[in-house]
Amino acid sequence: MRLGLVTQFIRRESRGSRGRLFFFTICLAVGVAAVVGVAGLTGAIEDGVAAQSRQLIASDLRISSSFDLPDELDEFLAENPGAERAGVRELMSMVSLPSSDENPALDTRAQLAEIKAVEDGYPFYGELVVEPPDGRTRLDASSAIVAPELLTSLGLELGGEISLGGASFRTVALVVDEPDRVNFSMTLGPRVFLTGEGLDRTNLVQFGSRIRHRALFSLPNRTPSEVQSLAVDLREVLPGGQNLRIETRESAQAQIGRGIERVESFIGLVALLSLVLGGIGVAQISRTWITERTADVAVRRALGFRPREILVLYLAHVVVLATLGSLIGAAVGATLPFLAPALAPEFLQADQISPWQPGAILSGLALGLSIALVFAIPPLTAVWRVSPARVLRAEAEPLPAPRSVQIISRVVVFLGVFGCAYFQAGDLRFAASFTGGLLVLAAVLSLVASGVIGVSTRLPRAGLSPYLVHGLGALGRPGQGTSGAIMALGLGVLVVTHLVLVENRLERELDNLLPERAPTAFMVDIQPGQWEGVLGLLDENGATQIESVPVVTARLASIDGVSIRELQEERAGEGRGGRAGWALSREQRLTWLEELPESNELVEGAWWSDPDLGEVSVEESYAERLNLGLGTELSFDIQGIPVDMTVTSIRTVKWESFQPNFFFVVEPSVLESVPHFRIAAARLGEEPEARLQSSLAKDYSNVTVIGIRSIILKVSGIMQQMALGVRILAGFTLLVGIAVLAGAVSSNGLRRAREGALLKTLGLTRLQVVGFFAVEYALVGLVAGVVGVTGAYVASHFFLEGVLQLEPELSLAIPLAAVLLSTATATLCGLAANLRAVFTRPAATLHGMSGQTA
Amino acid sequence: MTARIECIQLVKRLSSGEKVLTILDDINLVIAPSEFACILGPSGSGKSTLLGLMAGLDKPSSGSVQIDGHALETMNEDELALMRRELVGFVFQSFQLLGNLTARENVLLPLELAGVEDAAERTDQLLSDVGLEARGHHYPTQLSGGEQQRVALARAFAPRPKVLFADEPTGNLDSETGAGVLELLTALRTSYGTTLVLVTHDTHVAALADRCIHLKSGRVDRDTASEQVSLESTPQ
Repeated sequence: MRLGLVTQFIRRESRGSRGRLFFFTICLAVGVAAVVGVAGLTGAIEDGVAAQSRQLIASDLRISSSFDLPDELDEFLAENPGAERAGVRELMSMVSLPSSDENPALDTRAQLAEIKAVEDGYPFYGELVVEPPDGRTRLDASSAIVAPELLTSLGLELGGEISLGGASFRTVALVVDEPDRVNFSMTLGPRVFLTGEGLDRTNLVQFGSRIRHRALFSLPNRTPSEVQSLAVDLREVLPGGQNLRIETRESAQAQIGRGIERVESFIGLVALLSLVLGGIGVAQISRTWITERTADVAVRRALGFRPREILVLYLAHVVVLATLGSLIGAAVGATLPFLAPALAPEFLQADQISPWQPGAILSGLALGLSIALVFAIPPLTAVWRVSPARVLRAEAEPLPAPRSVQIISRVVVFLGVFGCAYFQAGDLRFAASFTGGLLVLAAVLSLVASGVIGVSTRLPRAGLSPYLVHGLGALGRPGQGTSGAIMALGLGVLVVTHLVLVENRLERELDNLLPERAPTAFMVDIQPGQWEGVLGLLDENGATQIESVPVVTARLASIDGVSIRELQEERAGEGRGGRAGWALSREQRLTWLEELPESNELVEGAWWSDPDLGEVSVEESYAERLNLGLGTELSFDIQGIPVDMTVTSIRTVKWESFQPNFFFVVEPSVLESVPHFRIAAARLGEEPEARLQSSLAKDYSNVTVIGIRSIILKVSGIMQQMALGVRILAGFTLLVGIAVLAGAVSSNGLRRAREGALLKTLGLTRLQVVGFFAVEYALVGLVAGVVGVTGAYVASHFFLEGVLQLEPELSLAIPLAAVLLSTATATLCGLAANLRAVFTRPAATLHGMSGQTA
Repeated sequence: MTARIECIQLVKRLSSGEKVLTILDDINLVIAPSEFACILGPSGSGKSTLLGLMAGLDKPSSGSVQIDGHALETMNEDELALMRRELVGFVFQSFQLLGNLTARENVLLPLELAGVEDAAERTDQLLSDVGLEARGHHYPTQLSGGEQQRVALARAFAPRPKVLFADEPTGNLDSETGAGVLELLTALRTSYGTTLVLVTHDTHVAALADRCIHLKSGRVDRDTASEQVSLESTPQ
């Protein structure tokens, strides 16, 4: 077939089809906008991270440890001419106002802060931006640069003094931007910058203090791949190298990139869902389109067009419409990376992302076109069924579609959706789960919709209002695309309701996270000699449920005689690095207890049963991760001294009890004489907790208080913001569902006009005609809403119980609201699409049927 | 350009609920090249069904239709479409113009489909032949019934078909307009030498034909061709 024939068909077919054009493009545009928006934003962040990769670790090479760094790093420095080193130490500590007799009220304020002590040279890349700009030059052993929110919470002005670790510091500048702190990570407190000498003035650097030691290296004479090789060598050469965290800018970038990719895979599929729904809309519109063109197709077949030639003509038109819709959607979606910093400034800053993402636009266009074609092909294969004898006899029986055509069209849909999902997620398993899940969902929804429609159309109608009779009859009217529209809208309702139900449940879970008797505050880094005093302060402030346990820091040296390094290499070789590897090399915290704690339950072995052994009890999932069992011999390195123990029991732990719990609990006689510190937990009211924080900051400044309430608030806040992003995407799904519904109802315009004309001829007023249509569409929306919320209820139930392991306890108000909204939306959409039919004079409509097609 | 049409023991049955209706029962016909044959009969006698079978628009339950020796029942849908594209033209009672094409585009369509080189010139000539050279840019809804049927005529003759099938071409027209259309149809037929098979219930239309085939209850009741042969063979 000549191209000219195709282009002419497209041009001619576009005449008088503004309705189809509009809904077709809307169905695709919304989905493409979501897909391009997501891809564009994640691409913008990734590019931004790549462009600032050196700033991620503010150096070429960064070595971190919870212990002092090995002295051998000095040799490393010497071996690399031109290299520079800057030390950084990070820790959490309480910051308060210095004691003041003049204004005792100020004494009650204390704030948990993230302390960062930096040496000259930091940062090697990027900039520590402060206000005033020369503030960095005034940072010395007696001054601090602080985050603005710290001053706010302490009620302090810049220039005022803060107290931390028993020393006072004058605030000389505010932190505006820090190069190696990724904005979208969770922080427990505002930042405080000190010099190394400043930190040494405090009492925070003590045995057992939880300090993260970092050495930053600038290696200007090394290429990135050379730095990567150096990192590998250092891990081999440095003492305890396998316990050090050694990062290059590539590895840091890759880690963030992996995190972004995981998020992108998930939200990308949510966005794809709205595009797939748009595809259902395309299928609906195509089905109605080809039904309206049946006579046209019959004439073409009579004139000698082969079915596949007619299919090509209609598909060419689909391509044009799909391109238009995709372009509009891509244009809208492409604006998201530009707008994101303004919409979420706490997560993103404009100078950290690269908003122009042509790749995202192109992939959105490709996906939009693909989805349109995939979903248009099955309904358009109806051209095979149109008998050319229809030109002589309208009631001519349809021809059977060739079996090959039926099979191919189904395969096209399946492979098309799978291909798009794989293109979007980049992961075979994700793509397969998405496709399979969608097909199952569509089948179930379709079944449920057909069932509900079947039941409602078979309801006895005697005695019902004529409006209801008409509406119920219209529900089940064949060939009008109602069930497809119900399915599409129902799917949109399902997705949004499901997300809201789950989010609502999680919020309630977080609100009720603290059990009645749970502690509200944890205190860490308590030196043994301080415990009596701390206990006294707790009693003074009315604390209850006070628990305190000793803590010894250690590292695993070997398991059953096999060194940790060998085990790590073995697991890495088997592809079982990751969490298992981390569990082997991480710093372990051991405690010793006489009695089994309330929140623990033995599942194997016995509690302190063999006095000849150095006994240790291991938490069940941790034991699984490390492949430990009863009788396993463990060797721990405790401050340079090897201590051997044998696993004599395995236990489960109720972590949600918020009691101090440990992976390893040791029999008391093994570690009692080892240097240790204590942690404590207690339950206090909010005000007494604030007073306690202040007292501890004054008298025991090395003790850090972690308020559980504020952490839960912070987590809740972050979850709400993330949920908002997902809800916005789900909103796209709903929007497409509405567009599909609107497309379906408006494509029946001719029938609707005829109906309206007939009803008016029978004597109904325009308002009564509106009432007839309103009830019909309300029923469509009601059925869609019921189908959608039923699916959402079931999906939420499975998700909460099966995945999150929570009791569902789902809200009823949310599904009810969803059904009402669905009903109202369908009614408004349907009426808006058919107002013209209501107000056209009957004669004009009834005379409008003659011998020409379409 | 002309063709011979042969129907051999043609039967067409249709299901109607639980019943099976025999629409055509053992039809045997030969229509000679360039012949103008009229099919008449009361409503429900199977006229349009016979036309559809002869044109390859439908398939018989049994029997055969051959156009120039090519058996239509052995062809698949694609082959039938190609056959219609190359050999057959149609004129319908309800005109069957494509509503979103102008008059000119409707006439041009079969020529574009066949890939004819001088499609535009032939289209303009045909529109002139049917007296609509000034209305080519109008859509069917902007034309009267008679004008629409004339466009349909032009479209039917555009690919210079060997056979033209017309199903009650004047059925939706008043007598004066119908007479005009019929005159054009016969003129074009004569000009191109096309075999014409026309279904009608109008005896005035039938009077113009070379031969009349009367159907009754799905069978050939009378065939003036055989009567003429009989007349010629009867000793005077």
